[in-house]
Amino acid sequence: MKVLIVDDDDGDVMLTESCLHSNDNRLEIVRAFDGADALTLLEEDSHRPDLILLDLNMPGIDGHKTLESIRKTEGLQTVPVVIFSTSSSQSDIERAYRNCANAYVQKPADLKNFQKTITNIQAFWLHTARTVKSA
Amino acid sequence: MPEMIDNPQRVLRLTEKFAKVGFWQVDIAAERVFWSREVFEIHGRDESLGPPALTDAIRYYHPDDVEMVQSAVDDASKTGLPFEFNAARIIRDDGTERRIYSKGEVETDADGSPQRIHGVFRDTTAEYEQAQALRAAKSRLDLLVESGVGIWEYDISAQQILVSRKFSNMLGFGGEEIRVAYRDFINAIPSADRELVDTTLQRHSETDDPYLIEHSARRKDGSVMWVRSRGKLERDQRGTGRRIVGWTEDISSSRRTQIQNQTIFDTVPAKIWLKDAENRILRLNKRAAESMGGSVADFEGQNTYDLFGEMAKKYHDDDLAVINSGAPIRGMVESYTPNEGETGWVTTDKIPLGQDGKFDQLLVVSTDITSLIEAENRVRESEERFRLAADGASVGIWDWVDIESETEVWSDQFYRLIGYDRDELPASLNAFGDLLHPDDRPAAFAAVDAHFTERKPFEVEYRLKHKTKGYRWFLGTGQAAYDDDGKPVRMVGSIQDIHDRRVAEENLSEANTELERFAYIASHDLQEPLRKIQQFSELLLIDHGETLKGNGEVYLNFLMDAADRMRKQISGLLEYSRAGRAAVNIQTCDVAAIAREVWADFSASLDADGASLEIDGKATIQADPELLRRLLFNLIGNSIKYRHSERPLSVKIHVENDAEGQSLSVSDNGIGFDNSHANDIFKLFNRLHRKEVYPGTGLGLALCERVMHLHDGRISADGRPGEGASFNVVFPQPT
Repeated sequence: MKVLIVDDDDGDVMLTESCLHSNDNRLEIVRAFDGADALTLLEEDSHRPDLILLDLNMPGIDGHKTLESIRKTEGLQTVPVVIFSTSSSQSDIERAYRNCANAYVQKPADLKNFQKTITNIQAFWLHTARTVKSA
Repeated sequence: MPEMIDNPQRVLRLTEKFAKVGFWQVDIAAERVFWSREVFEIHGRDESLGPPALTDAIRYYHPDDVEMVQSAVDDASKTGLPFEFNAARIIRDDGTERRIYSKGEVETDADGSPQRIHGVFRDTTAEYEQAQALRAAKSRLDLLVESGVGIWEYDISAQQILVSRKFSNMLGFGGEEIRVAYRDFINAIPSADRELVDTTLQRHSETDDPYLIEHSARRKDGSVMWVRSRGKLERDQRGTGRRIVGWTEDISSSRRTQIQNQTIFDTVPAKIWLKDAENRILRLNKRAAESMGGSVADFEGQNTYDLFGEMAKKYHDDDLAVINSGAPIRGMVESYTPNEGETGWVTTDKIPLGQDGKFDQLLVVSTDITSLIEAENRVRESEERFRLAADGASVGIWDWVDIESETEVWSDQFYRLIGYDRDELPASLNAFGDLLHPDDRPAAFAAVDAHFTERKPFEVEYRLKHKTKGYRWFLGTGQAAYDDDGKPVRMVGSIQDIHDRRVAEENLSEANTELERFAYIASHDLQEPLRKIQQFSELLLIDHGETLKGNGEVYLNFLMDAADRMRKQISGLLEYSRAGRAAVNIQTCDVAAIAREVWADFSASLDADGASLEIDGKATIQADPELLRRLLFNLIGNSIKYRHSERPLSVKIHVENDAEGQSLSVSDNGIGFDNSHANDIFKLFNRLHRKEVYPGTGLGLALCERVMHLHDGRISADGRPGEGASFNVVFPQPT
């Protein structure tokens, strides 16, 4: 299973990666530093992930534009995209869902909640949702 | 006498002479005519010529009468009966015309055939003319009687008055001729005029002076009428007054006019004098008399020199000038000072009266205009005050005097504000329109229309083109005056230079927007590193806590605590900045419901026993519900945070909502504060207490202040150290 983390913040990426790996050490994690990086990676079919964790506030092509491009790309429309951002702004939330984000999750401030949130996202989108789909 | 009988010829002459009767005879068979001397006399025919032939005699008659005479004579000849005719005309030999009376008899023979005609002949011209004159007089009299003139006859010796039908009818006695005793007649006249009529008639019966009097009379039904009477005395041969024949005319209607004139004369709000050239008062009205301190009777006929001595001279000189020149003086304004009271003002007209360009009388009409002058003065004073105010004010005043016209009046300051001289730019609606910035015209004109039609207050900000400085911002206000029909007739307003303020406001607004954007972004961006500090400090503590030596763990906790505080401050700032950008949405808010929800949110963390919330007053106010919630959240939160440690917290909320306005207060029994800080506590990051004891962001009350600012309302605080604090907020009255 493969997760693509699109985030320019090294700290968040490190926390997210360590949390994901502590739950499933076989998980393949690919990291893109910004939107442009992510879209380049996604062009290669071999990099097609099972889940994309997408930050919004990034230099260059931000999360919203990245999501738009993903949803326009053949073969990527069905890949679950979870927005994982510090923004609680209503306009960000609405725009993300308009662009067919699968979930919008605000990055929790404290460590415990952060870890719990990552665990829940991982459990749902990499396991529960897949099970329902295959059934 | 015997002599007369003896000489019948002489008797006939004498008879003829004294009776003015002539004799004539016609002998038909002999065709001879005999005329007496008187007959010659009447015909103006010379006696020496002898009488005319029978056929010529008839020719003396007027052609129109010949036929009548001939037929009368013929009839008499046939019937043997006498004939008679009167007023037949004859033409004398000298050509003059006479009226004659002729009577004749036919003398017949035994067979009955006429032999002679003889008769008398008389000149009746004078009688005829008298009768004619009498008839004319009679018909004139009839006319007079018809026209409402009553005839009467006063028999002096019998002391009786005969009242003609017409006069009796006039007096309401049914039109029957009546004869009354003179005394009764006089007594029937209303007492005011009784003596006048009596003495006039008595004097006339002695002196025969013609008279014409106007007096009142009483009708049968008791009503009073006005009549004009005139009479003529008739004397007998001995010269004794025998009777007075008179006529009386009903002048009630003209008399009414006269009385009306007198009434007008007395009630017109002016003093009126009629004077002659000698300065005598011929007539004056009541007001004039009162102004001179007396009654009409006191002054009528008096000379003003007698009344006022030398003081009268000044007026007399003026009066004479008018009489002599014939040029009236009008609108002469003079002041007067009565014995008691303040100076008054009169305006006087002096009008010369006379005939054919010669004047001998003067009409003086004087009107008191004190109240008018006072009103004028008041107007002038108020105009003056207005002008002073207009010129002294920092605002420029414009006066659109007549809304129907283009003309306006602009104050000095108005001109200064637009940089023009009065001469350069005449004040007018057009000139104003030209000064107005084209983009601002529609709104300004619409506001004027709305003011005229809906009476909406006129207050508009617009740009006017300054002579040298280009367009500048002004605050324009105005108020129209409306007539009774609600139509605007005049509008006065002001312009105030708000250019610097407006520009500053625009700059400030830009700066504020910038600042808010900055605050929003900054707080977001600040959140990130803080979160890292917190999260990794925590991670460090969890993963490597045991390996930390000494105070390592304590230091890490300080780090985390500081980061937490900073995070809270930043989120407060974020909320504060967000509140500034929110659109205010005024609705009816249930204050009690919101307050109880907020209280419930807090009560989970409220570990103090017996804390209570009381709400009284009105239930609702008009406000933005979300902002009101934040306000109550912060105020109640404040009360909870600064509660007194030694007594249970009591929070009281009181809501007012009436014509005066809407407000609410939140009071507590907490630790309070010193009122010298009452204004500072609303400033950002301002704290009155050490954060170790009362942790806070210093943003709560600043946010409250901002909420009220967004509502165009205000907030104030009242603290009593150790006793409690009270926050009072006032919302504007919803429009």
